[in-house]
Amino acid sequence: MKMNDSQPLPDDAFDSALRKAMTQRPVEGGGNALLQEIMNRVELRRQREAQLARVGQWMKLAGVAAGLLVVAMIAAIALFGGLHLGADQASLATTVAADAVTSDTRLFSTEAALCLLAAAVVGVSVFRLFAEDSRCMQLGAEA
Amino acid sequence: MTQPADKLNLDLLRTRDADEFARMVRLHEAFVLGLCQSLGLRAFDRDDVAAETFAIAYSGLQHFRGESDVRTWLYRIAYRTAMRMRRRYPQTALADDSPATEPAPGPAETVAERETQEAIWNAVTSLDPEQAAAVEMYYRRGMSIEEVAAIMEKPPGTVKTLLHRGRERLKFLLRGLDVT
Repeated sequence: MKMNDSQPLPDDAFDSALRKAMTQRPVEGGGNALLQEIMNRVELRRQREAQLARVGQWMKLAGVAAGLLVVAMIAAIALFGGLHLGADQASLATTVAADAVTSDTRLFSTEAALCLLAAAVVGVSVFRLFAEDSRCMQLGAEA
Repeated sequence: MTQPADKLNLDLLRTRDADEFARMVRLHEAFVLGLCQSLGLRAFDRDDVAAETFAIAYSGLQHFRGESDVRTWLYRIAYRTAMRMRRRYPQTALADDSPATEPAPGPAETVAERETQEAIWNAVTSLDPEQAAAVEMYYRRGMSIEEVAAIMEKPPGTVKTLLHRGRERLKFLLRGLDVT
């Protein structure tokens, strides 16, 4: 039988006996030993979270460093390209730098540039993975 | 300002104050262990559920928004953790699988009464887990239908249905016994 929200539950002798028996049931376990175990677990979890946060920060730093490295490389290529070709305009130097990565100018190894780019992508992905992991933990806890 | 004995300081809990957290464990461990008892979990699984429940709560306290009562929030975690354990280990333990912490029946409490009570406890343990959880919260803890519904994350009507079916099943299981 399904009951709706406004329907009252029966309250008879069986109900009273059930309530009496249930309230008199002793709780087994607990006490200091359990509290100690819980506190130990909590401490372990706290250490793990701190560790994860540290790793996350390092990954973030690594991602930023990789990004900066790529930017620095492109700037260096632009500068070197500008000097090499005798160009005195920054826009030309930048174009040369972009060409260095994509064309046959070969001022800077395309493979090396791609490796740097790949490293940056991997760095950012790993960082996002860690960030997602810690978010999942938060959601689980909130649930 | 001191807190009432049964009231937790949410601000302290959010800062993960160890003493306040220990107080939370003390206040609510009986609920968690009792729920596990009624779900028929074995003694060491009950301790596991309690430890896991409080560990999850500890992790989540910083992010607890306070939209629901901390008790309801904690019991919801306990309910989910206990049900997960129950699904993982469907075999149940009988009520007398570990020594009770209460003294043996005194002169006023007859052996027959005690046997009847144990029969009821065992019958509750053999119910469908959701029914057992509803019976535990409603009859043993004296919670309102609304509070049980909030913890089980079900509409109040569904909780009533669970209780009704649980009662009917208990009546059937205890039919040879003079329960009243």
